Amino acid sequence: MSDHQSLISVQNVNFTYGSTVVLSDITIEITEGDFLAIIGPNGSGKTTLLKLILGLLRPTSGRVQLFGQDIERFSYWKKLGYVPQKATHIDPFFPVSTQEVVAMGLLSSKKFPRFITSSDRKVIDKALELVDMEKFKSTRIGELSGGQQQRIFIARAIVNKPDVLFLDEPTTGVDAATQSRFYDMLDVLNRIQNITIVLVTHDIGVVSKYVTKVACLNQKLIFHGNHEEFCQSSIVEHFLRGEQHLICHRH
Amino acid sequence: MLSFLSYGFMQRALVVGLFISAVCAILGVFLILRRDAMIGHGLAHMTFAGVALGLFLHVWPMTTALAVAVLSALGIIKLREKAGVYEDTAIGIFSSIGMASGIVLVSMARSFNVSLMSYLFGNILAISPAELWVSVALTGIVLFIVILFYQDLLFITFDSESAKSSGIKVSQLEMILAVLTAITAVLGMKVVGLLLVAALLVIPSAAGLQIAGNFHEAMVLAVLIAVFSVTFGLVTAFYWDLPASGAIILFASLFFISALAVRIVKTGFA
Repeated sequence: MSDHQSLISVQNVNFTYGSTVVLSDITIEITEGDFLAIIGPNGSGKTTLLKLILGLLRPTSGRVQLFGQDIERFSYWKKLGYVPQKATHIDPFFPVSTQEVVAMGLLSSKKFPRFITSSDRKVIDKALELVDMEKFKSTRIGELSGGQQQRIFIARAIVNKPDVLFLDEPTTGVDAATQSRFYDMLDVLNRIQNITIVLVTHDIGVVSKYVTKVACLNQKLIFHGNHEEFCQSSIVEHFLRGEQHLICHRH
Repeated sequence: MLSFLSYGFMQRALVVGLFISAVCAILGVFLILRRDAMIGHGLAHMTFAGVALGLFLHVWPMTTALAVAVLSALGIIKLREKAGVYEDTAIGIFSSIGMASGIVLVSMARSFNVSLMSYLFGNILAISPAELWVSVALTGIVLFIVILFYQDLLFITFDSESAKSSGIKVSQLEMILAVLTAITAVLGMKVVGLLLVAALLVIPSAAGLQIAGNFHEAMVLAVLIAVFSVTFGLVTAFYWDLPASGAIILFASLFFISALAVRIVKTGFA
């Protein structure tokens, strides 16, 4: 195991919705520098697990800790960046510029009352530059393509320089070429900016060359380990069924 | 042309109308984008119950209307959050209860009179100096709170899930927005009456949203459309002896149709 600091700890977490068990006895540790893919079939509880980690849902039992704090008392929200699943399904008529969207990401680091200052605007411009979208800072977000919108949501998630970036199926509905450029950008954020990345996806074939760890879910945790171990495990066959090509060496 | 401003009642009407319509427009932008536009309609019906309670208890109806509207706003939120009732269903239930209790209370108070009609249809030309100061003060408070929470409200309106994952207290902000809407609905009652206050909350904002490029622009356009609607409505009502409330809303509707046409010409049908 790596000697990096543990950032997120999920211990024996269960989550039920009514009488339906969504997640059962999940234990996962996420350490600094990880690029973790949470994979599993539809309805396996991937998004639920992410929402439990982010405090958007409360576990039925078990414990979630972020940076050593229980999620109920967690206060370092600026350490987290989040790109939700619906990022590719936004209302095209919502009158909000890309600059206004990225500005939202700064609020977690501000004390009440939260205002956007001129120095904040420079930080926003830098975040847009990082995702190569500075030309579109005054454009309404609904006018951008799906891939461009994704970059804006990444800019919003990283504008605070978070320690951990969470992404939930970020490339749904985005074409293959754009997906590839998008994951290249995540790779840079992980390696160069040293941002820990937690990515929910059902498409391990596409992301396999970037990730360092894999957690495989199907209500229960079927596998949790590093990428090489995952490649050698029998679970790969079960997931890919010959339909995808898995790259087992990180670049 | 500006001779109407030589009358004290017209000056008061214009000041109150401009302040209240501006706040309605600002809140309306948030409500429409949150798909909460009908909450104004529901709160207006509850405000009717509040007015009727005031008439029944022989106290100033504005105070009972405020209390009932604020409690109803919180009730709608709680019914949705805690009991899992859909928002439009919760609004439907509250507006029906408001109308029903209003009718019963008015009947018990034997108050089917001019005073009640002025609350239902508005009587902006009959605003007293005391009502002017109360309206301006309450409008100022609502505006101040919106400015303080502007960024937070924008975030929860655009993406409440991400807002929550950034440590923003989404439930508390929803309560604040609902209470501000309740206060504004009661204030709007003096301008256009309970039957049209939802229109003042929705139409100018909907017009602004048709042509705005960003959120800040949507706010500015909504406010401009609201204040022009009030000004043109009041002037028309004064010179042509028409009901001011109806004239204001008809002008707002004209602005909406024009803005919609501009948007369709620019971008085509959605």
